[in-house]
Amino acid sequence: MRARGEAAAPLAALGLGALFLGERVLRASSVSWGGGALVALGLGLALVAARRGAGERAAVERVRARALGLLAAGAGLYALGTEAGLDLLRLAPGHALERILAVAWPALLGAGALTLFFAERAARQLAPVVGDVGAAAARRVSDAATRGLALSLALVFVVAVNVAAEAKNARVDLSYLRVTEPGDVSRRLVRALGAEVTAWLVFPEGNEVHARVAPFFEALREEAPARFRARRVDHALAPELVTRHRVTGNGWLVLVRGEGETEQAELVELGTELAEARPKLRTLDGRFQEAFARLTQPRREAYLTAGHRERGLGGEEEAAGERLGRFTRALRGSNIGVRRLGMADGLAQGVPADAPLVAVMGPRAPFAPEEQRALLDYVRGGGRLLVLVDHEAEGGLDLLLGGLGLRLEPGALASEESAVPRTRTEADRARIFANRFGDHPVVLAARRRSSGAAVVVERGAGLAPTEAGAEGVRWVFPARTEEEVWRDVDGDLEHDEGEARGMARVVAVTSVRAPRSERDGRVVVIGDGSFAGDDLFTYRGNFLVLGEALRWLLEGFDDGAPAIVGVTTSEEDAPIVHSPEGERLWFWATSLGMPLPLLLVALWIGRPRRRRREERRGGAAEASADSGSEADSEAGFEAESGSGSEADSGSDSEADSDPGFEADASSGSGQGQGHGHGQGSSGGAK
Amino acid sequence: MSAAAPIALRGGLLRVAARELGGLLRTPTGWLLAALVLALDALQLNGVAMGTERRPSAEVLELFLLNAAFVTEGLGALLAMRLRVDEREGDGALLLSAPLNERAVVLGRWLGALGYLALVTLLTLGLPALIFVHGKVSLGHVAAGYLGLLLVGALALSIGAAVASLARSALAAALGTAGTLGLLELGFYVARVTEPPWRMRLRDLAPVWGRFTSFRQGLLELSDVVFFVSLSYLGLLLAVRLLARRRDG
Repeated sequence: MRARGEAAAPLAALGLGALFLGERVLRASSVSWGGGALVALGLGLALVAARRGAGERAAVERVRARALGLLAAGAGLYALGTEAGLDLLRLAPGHALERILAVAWPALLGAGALTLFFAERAARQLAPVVGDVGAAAARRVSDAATRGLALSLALVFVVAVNVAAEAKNARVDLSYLRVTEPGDVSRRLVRALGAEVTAWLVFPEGNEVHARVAPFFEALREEAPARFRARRVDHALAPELVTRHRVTGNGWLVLVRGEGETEQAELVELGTELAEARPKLRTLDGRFQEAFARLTQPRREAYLTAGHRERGLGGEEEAAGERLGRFTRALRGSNIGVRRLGMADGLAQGVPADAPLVAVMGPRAPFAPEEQRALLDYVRGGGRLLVLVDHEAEGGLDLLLGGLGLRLEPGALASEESAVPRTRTEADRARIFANRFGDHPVVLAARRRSSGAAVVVERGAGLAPTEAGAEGVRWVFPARTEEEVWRDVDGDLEHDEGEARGMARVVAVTSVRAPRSERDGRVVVIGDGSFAGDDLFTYRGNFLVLGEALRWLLEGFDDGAPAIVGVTTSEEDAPIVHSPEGERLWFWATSLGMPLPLLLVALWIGRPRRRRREERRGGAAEASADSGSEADSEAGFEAESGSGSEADSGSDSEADSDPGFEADASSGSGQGQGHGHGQGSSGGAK
Repeated sequence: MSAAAPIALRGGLLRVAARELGGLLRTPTGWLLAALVLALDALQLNGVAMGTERRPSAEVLELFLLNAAFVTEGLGALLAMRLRVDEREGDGALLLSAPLNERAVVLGRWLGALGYLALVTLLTLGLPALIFVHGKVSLGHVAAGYLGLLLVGALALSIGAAVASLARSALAAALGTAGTLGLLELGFYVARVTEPPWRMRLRDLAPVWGRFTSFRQGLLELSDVVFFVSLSYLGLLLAVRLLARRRDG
């Protein structure tokens, strides 16, 4: 009988092994069933032994039977969670009970296994000592089983907490370039969706690139859960999708709109290896935006005037901050193409009739009167015009602006209090912010963020209506500076007499009646030619105002869908490189300069010890006994860390630093006297 | 249990922790170890993270944090040597015979070692500060990475405490801890050749290759923080149980 009970645990262990082999390695149901039968047999043996045993023996067998019961229950629940088990229960796949079973079986199996292990271990350890089971031994086995159960419950708790944390995961992106967060424009594009779009992330399960991009699409899905979906699919498991859209492998984003014949798709390659995908991930927002806009936004064209040394069109000699790289990327990201429109393109004859928008991006040379008249006619005919202008245009747009009843105030805007510090010199006075916004749609987005957003102009010009005005034109000035801004007429950036202080209007907006057109003409004028340059366009207020201005200007074209324009969150990172001249200094300063002080402290602290060691060695040599020094040299990390190995370590031993604790301890142990405990005892013996 | 009991426990725990931390800071070995960690991190920043290629600053920081996490694991394994409580050596007899329960002994030593590890880790902050000045990385990214390093250290030390409770010598404790951490990290690679759901589970068990990934990328993920905290708790619980068993004989 005794042997029968003790065989139960090995049988159950064998059964579990067979179950694992059958399910995971051999995929043979017969092996699985055999394993299950062995577990059941083990449980049966334990139950019989518990029933037939007597006294303390029966108590031990009951502990064993309970542990095996947990184990068998776990195996049973596992069986019920399999396909065959669910069929038996007549449950559809995905039923809530399936998830409960998936959680319950490992918990029970773990609890049973640990309880059994602890109980069996205690029983086997005690067997040679007590011979047969006595009352004390039975209690020990029971206690061990309880410890095992407690540990397994702690394990279950830890697993449960982790599963819950995975399910309700929260994420905060603190990185500089937030790859995992879509930008405003991407979010707005998704929010404005009229039709369903699915983002297929073609990646294998557990791929690290997918792990990085998944939160980006999850955030977008939350913007329009009913119309935007994001799903991961393995290339091998989606033959129809990959064939239809010619996806060559894993590592692609496929944006799909519509169904059947009308289905359209845009592909974005990302890659599956993180190292190679990094550069693409950094521009994910922009790449997604471009592809998404191509799929969902009507194609529009913007005409940029040329031939007047406009910003961004000056070629290589252009200052980096004045290039229009970000601006044109933003246009591309909104499916807006860019065309040139200069004298050679027929501007003097007139603006092309199909041009939905003409933009004058900070000219620094005058427009011909014919060109200005053509632009005026275009607006009066229902055209849309964006003008970025300041005094660098040298009055080259006066005819156009005057025709619309607008003028530039003399002098560049400057301020001490509204300055945006960049160089911490007087030059910063010319870079000022304006944070007083009106109610016009062009500034509403910036106004919503009025706690932080402001438009920034550099050597900007104040805008004012002309006294004569213009027929059918009424200007609105929705962005203004503070009152203390002055107009720096002489260019010295010092406030002199005669340079008037006062609020300056830096954005002007108007609608122009166009009797011969279905649409009204619209004009937005911003008093800074470099407003859309790469430098100023990074200011949130600038890109919000410019984005909304383009959106407002493009209203009413094509299918009426609003144009969504803005910057992406994609930004180029700064490369870190060793410079040849600084390399040596950098290397030595960090590799040696930083650890050196710590090394010196170590030597300083170790000095008294070394001195004592040498003294001891000297004394030992005189006494012809060198064993003590060997003990010291072998003491190593444990001894040196103040464990008291050096019996004569004196004031620097740990024990001395805490006399109260020492007193408590020594009273109980009898070894903790002075410093001669632990390894020190070997030294003492010597 | 009287209300004074938890206070007494807390007092004992803090005294053990202070004693452990003081023990490390008063010995040359503690400072040598700190210098070694600093030198290793500086070398890996210069030689591996920055290397000879033009790498974006965020990538340099990520690589630095990844390598620093392995250095932290190594430091945790070394410190496990001190987490061993044996009546035959060191101050083990003192602790085992002191009127302190096992929780105070294990948690106190773990806290002391964690305090030391945190100090050493924070000493290396000067290295990413240089990337911060010259590149485009945020303070939040650095902070998230260092929080991750501390969590990796806490986990390594709690595993060290559990292994040290079983080990027969200090060296065995260090090797056992390093081996356990190595096995967990190896799971990340084993996961690649296994099938779901084991693939995800094995990968998620790897402290540095798996769970530290979000921290080094500047992300704070609740699930990863919970992973480190809960597993540290489990390691310490195991250490307390094992010590109790040994104390009971």
